Amino acid sequence: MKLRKTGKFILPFLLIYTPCFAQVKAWVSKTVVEMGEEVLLNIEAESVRAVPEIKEIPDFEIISSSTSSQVRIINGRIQTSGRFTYTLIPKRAGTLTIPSIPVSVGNQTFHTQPITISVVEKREISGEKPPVFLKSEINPVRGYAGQLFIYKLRLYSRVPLRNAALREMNFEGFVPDILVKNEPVQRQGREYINGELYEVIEVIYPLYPLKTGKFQIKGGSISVEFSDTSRRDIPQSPFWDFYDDFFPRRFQRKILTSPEITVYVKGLPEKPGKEKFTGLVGKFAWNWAVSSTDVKEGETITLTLEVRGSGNFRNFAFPQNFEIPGFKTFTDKPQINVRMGGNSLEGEARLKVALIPIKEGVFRSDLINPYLPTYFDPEREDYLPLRINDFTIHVRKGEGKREVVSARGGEETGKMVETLTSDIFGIFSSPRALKKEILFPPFPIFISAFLSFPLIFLVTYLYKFMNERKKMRKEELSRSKAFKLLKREIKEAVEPSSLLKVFLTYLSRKLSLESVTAEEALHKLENVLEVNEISQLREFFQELEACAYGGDQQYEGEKLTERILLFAQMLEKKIKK
Amino acid sequence: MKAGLLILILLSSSDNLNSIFQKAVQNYNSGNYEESYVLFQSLLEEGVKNPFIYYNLGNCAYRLGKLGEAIFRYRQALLLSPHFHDLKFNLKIAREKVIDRFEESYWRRFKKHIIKYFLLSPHLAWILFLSVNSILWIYLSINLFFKKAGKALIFLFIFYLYSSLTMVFTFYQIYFKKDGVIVEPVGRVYSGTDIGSLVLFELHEGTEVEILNERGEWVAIMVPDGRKGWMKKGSVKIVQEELK
Repeated sequence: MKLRKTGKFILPFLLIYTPCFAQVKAWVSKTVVEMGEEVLLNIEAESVRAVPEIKEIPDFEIISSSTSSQVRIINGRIQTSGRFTYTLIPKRAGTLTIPSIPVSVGNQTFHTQPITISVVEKREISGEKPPVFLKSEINPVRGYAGQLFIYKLRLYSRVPLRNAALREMNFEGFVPDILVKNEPVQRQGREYINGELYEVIEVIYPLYPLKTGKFQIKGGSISVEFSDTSRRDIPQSPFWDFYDDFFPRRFQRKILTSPEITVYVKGLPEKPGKEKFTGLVGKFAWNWAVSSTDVKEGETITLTLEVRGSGNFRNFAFPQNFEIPGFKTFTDKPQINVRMGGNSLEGEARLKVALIPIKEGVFRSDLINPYLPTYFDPEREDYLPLRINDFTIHVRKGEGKREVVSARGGEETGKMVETLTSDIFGIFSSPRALKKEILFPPFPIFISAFLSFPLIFLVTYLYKFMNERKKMRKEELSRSKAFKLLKREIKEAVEPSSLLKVFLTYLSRKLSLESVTAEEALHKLENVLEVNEISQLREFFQELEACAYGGDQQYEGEKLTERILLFAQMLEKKIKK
Repeated sequence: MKAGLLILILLSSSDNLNSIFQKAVQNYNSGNYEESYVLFQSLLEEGVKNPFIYYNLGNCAYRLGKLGEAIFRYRQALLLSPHFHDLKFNLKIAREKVIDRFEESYWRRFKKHIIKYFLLSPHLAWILFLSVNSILWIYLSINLFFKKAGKALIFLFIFYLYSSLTMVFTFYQIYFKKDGVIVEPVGRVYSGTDIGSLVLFELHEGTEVEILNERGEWVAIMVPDGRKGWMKKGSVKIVQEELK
């Protein structure tokens, strides 16, 4: 009875809660896993609208997630379901629980059941190495401030790998070299371990300590997917892809971590040589080259200084101010080339110094050595000097200008003007320097000035041309009308003198002249008339003049007029031709 | 800062340009080359552009040990006054200190040698050209009426040709040609217009180059021996840029 009452009381709650587990279920791929090994969490709900509310799972890292949906027909009824798969990697060893996960379906929320997983440490059976493992090392473990430390992370694998991703490294107390600021140096190789061939991927970080003391460098971490099939069990290229197509391998994801490393950084010792130490720690050698050892005053010599070796090139600074007696010096910007060597940063730093001798003499390289710094060799634990070998520069006198001066006795002799050094002339201090110069006049002004004079010429030419043309037309007109006018004027002339005048007027018109005498007319007509015609015309002129001025009364006016007209007709014909 | 304040005070006065100039000369003579440089520079900014200011700036830069800047200023002055003796001498002294040396081809040397006879100060070049142009055309105009051309016309024509070439060469140097001077201690010449390109060679401060092209922050250069490449604009200063 009591039970029935209790049952009545509990039943509604059971009715409410039971479906919560009935509609969603969760399970894992395995309940016992190794550290770093992945485990799949599956959540299935009887609705495609289901959304699991997972932000994070304590003690596990969610690597990836995927969704799929299923449609089933059971007894004629269509059932749809959604499946959510999460790839998890345990963060620690021990018994870990995946808590109940809420899954919302529409307005309702359902919960999965909690799942317990046992995470065990990695097993290494009697020294046998796992197919994939991570190792790290640092060199040196004990070093000096300013020294370069090389941290190496090695990924060993004897099975095919894919999607390897390096997690961000944290080097507390150290700063990586600029060479690996964006991406670490990577190398690949092969190594035999216990008779097994492993592919090795090496990731290298050159590090500089920021301070002295003891430091714990946390282990590196790489997320990787690897196959169960050993690399040696499968054929090698070129049939690799062919094999993959027919026998696809199963890959599992793991996060591999390497153990922590302890590093000790000591301060640099107080020893002789430290006063010239500029921060270079490692193993170095000093080279030099000089462009010429025999020069004249004022000629430039290039001295090239070069430091080569392995160590912390970044902290190296060349001396900048060389004050060498007898020389003017100009230092160039140093060039530093750094690359990753076998176990350290290797490279060279180069400086060019232009030396200009300003006086004659012999100079030894001892003058340069005092400027060169010392470096600290961690193996010898001592400061060592950077020195260049002895060399000698011979500076000869510069060639002077030969000046001719007058010597006593009127003889000329040559005298050398010695050039001690060369220097620039002083500044221009006249107020003329304040004059604002017009580099180029405004373009329209320039073009106007340029074109105006040819234009004047053109106008003048046109004026002349037009004028001449006008004159020619006038003459032409006068010539063409000359015979008509002659015929008109000759009718009015009675006296021989007036006949002569009319004939000469005709000739002056015909010859485009203002006025003309008989002699001038004959001279002008020499080119037009034949010789006999000229003589006839001359005789006629003489006859006409005799009639006009000689008082000869025996003339016949009509005959004279007729002859004048005949001559005029002849001229008209000849001149036309 | 000190020089900046000084300029501000001087600019506010009435006869400012002369005062700045005198102060700059004083500073130079007292060995304060940096102040002197700033003051001469301010005169340029005030529009006083002539070869003497550029020459003085070159001297200040030389004294300050800025070889590239000195040669750059001397080259600017040389464009405005190609026959300024002191300037040519100082430029020669400065060029002797440049580290880079090049073997110029015979043709380039010949071209330079010929062109130098046709170079004049720009204002002289255009005044000469316009004067000869006017004389020639006036003479021709008069000759239309008197017809006594003879030898004078031949001389005039030769002179006209010379003045025309002088003007063309002088203004070509300023308006169409581009020369550069390396102003950084070492300037890298790349094969392309990004830092990742191959470094072809390096040039040192004061080296004079020909500018072939400009693209964004990069300039294509050619050194006297004919090698070409790209440089960052900060490494090289273009001589003609300020003059136009």
